[in-house]
Amino acid sequence: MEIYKNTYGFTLIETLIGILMTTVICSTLFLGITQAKLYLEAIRVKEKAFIELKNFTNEWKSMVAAGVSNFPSDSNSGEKVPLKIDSNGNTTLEGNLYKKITKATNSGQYSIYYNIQTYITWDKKNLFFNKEKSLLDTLSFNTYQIQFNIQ
Amino acid sequence: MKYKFNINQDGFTLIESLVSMLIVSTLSFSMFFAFYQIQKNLVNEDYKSDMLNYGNRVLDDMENEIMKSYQLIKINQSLSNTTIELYYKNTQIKTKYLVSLENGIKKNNGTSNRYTPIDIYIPKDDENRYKYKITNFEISQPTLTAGDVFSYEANMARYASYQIKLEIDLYNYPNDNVLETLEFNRRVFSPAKYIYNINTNNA
Repeated sequence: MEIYKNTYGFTLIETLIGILMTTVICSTLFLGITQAKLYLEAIRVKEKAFIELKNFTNEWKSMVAAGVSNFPSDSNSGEKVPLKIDSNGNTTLEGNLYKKITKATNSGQYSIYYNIQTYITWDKKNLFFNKEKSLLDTLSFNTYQIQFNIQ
Repeated sequence: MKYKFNINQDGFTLIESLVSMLIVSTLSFSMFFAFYQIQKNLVNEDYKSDMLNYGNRVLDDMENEIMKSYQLIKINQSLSNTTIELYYKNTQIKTKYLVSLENGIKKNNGTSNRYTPIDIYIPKDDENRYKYKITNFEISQPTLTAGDVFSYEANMARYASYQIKLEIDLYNYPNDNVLETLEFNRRVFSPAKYIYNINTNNA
């Protein structure tokens, strides 16, 4: 019977590699969770943008319904609307609302209706780690509204 | 038969044991802290998600009713309670909303005197700590702002529209400080009110 005696434990290098591996795994886990949280925030911003675009479209639909026929043109930056507000009440992300309202081509004498195209754009670069590049996101509506003709 | 045994006769020294205990406890503490933070974030996200759904659900319901009604009457019962009554043409039935900062938004569809919650609203947890709380509810007619169309028709449209604002504070779990304020805005045009106004020359 041969008996081998091992009197050594882990070496310093082995221990350091073990610690390094654990650190890398923990960091990856944290990074993954943070990234998932940012994606969730991006979805929420999109939901908020959707609601703001709906409000904006409703406003112009009501104008068309009431008989307004001259619509002011948008400025280059459109109408600004806050999409994300921090705990101090400061706007951290802004959206820009635009509209294009034209009389529908087959709108008749008795049924006058308009085509309303609205859209919102926002830059979601601040929502992610890569803040260098601009990441424009957009949502758009294309709807029709009849003019009420109440005698 | 020949057996080979690999026997380590020496144990760890005190220093080795202490160093390994220190490393293990540091890693365990970091992991516990990390998971505690993750759990805290998840709870906060859960409450936020609940309130985002709640705010949108309640305002969608209100928006649908306002579009059908020709008259809206707001009664401020107290600093924390507001009642909104909606009237419809050719029917005696009216819809009422009770907006309570403490108990959420409830609806009475006119069939009985009972108010029923539109969605689940439980602002405090098992340990009586605030999870979220409605802090502000406003309903008003839109005012003329810079860039708006100014004409008789546009004024009639504004006169038949409402702006609704709802604010809900989210509390940081497990502390009682406000983490974030969720703000919901709606603009509703009521064709029923517009037609009523035109017919009665009520502008």
